[in-house]
Amino acid sequence: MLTFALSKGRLAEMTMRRFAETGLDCGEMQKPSRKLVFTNEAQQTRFFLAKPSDVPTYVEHGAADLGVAGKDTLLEEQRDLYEVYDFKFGCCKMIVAYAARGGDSPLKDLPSSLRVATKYPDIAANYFHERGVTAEIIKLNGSVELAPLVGLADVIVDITETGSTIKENGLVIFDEIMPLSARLIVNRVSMKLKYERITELIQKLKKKT
Amino acid sequence: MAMTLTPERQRMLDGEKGKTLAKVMKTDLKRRTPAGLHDLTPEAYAQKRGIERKIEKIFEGYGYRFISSPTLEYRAVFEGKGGLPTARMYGFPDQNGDMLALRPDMTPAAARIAATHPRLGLGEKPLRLCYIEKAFRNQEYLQGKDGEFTQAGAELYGVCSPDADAEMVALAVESLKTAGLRGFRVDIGQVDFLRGVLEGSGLDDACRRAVARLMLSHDYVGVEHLIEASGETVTESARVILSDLTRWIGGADVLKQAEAFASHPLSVAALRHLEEVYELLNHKNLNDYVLFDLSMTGHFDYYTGIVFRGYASGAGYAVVDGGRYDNLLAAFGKASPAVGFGIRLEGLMDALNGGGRLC
Repeated sequence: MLTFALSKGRLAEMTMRRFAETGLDCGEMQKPSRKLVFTNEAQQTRFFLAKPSDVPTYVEHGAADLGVAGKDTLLEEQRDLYEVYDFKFGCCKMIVAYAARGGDSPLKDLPSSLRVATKYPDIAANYFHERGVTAEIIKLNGSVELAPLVGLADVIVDITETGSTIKENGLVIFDEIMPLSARLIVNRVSMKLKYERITELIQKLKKKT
Repeated sequence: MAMTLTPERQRMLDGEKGKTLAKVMKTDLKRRTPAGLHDLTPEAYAQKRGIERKIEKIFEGYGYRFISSPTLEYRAVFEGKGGLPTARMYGFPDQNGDMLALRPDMTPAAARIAATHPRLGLGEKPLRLCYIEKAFRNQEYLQGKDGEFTQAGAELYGVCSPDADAEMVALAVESLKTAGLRGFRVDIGQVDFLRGVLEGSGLDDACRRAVARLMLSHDYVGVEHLIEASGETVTESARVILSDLTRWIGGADVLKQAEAFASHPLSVAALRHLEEVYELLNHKNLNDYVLFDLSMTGHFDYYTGIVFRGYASGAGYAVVDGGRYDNLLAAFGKASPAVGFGIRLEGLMDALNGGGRLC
């Protein structure tokens, strides 16, 4: 049995379409239902949906052999697992942005210290550390773009797909830290004990790209 | 008759409530163990001791002698050995202000013993030591990881040969078998394979270090992206090997497949070495338990040859962790080749008991 943990929401839908192309059928899951775990006995697979930031935890512990999660989640969770395939969907960017109030950007000639609001404290801390900036990280859980507008932080580190929310809120992108997309992740033990099925799936996915 | 509460009476009641709440919270702490630390009931203890006795017999049968080291040692013994960050060690200063650590891993402690006790005769003949000891790690809070675990391990000093490496793998396999574990695999790699691939890849130093770091965290997508971005500078064989790392996990046939692409002398020698080890395990009829993973690196600055891990369904992590570390003993003042492994008894018990997992 091969168990998959998928990230609830749009990512799960795209993943299921992509899996279908390789012959993996998660059919039952697309129908509205209260069931939590969907088993396909014929092809010996099992699927369940989890909160995106929990998917790496399920996979690290082996409750799921495989999972699909955004690279942003993987960077932030830092779990011990294999990252084996880039789906190249769910694409977005991790960016640094500040409030355009006229005058200079707070990032001009990178000052020695900054207050940074973000959902991704590790990524933000690394980014500024590498540039010799002492960053006071303020962890927020959502609507991060609000922070510089109301004076909670000087800049934000956040993800954006098109940059339109950022722009609409009068923020200016200073730098793109990295491109992000959905990844196939594998439990360390499953990668070894079930390598035949798993490498076969990876090869099929790679061929379709 | 309706009771009316005077302000004094209300205050008194609130005060009582507060006291009771405080008592409950205190009692709770006293009645619990910290996250990641567990008691053993008589049944679990009996199971664990039973496994320990079986492993003791196997170890001794292979000519290994038991040692023990203090649970608390100078932190310097462990720092920078095998990539375990200092933040993962429990520690505090002693009366002189020197930092102590609760042993996070037995291998450095055993190496210190081997290197500093002249009567053990390190360097004169092969030295075989083993142990069953607790190790402690300051794990991330509430991630379900053990803060204390038992390592049953064996170390062979003074020999660097395929025979020594095969002896270690065989001992690990025999120990798991004797403990009653079925359906497990020991996964063997050789760090020189990828070291050679990287050296002959045409990538510059910074890129090679970046690839090594990505491989260590199993970020194979990151490796692929880096290779793509490097374009023409990467040799064709390095591109084939590095852009599809999961391809190098499998039975003995992956060694043959890799031969077609490996060109650097380090990689070629690593493959030959693995074939010799496989041949020796074949003689012992243990080849069914063996898998190869050429993508396995371990910490490049710690492991110097063969690396192996044991996997069983039911345990979410490796139950055996081992490899050759020829540079460690020099840190304790006496250079010597060394190879060894440790079994995590709690992981082994999880696997034996079927684990708490979906699968």
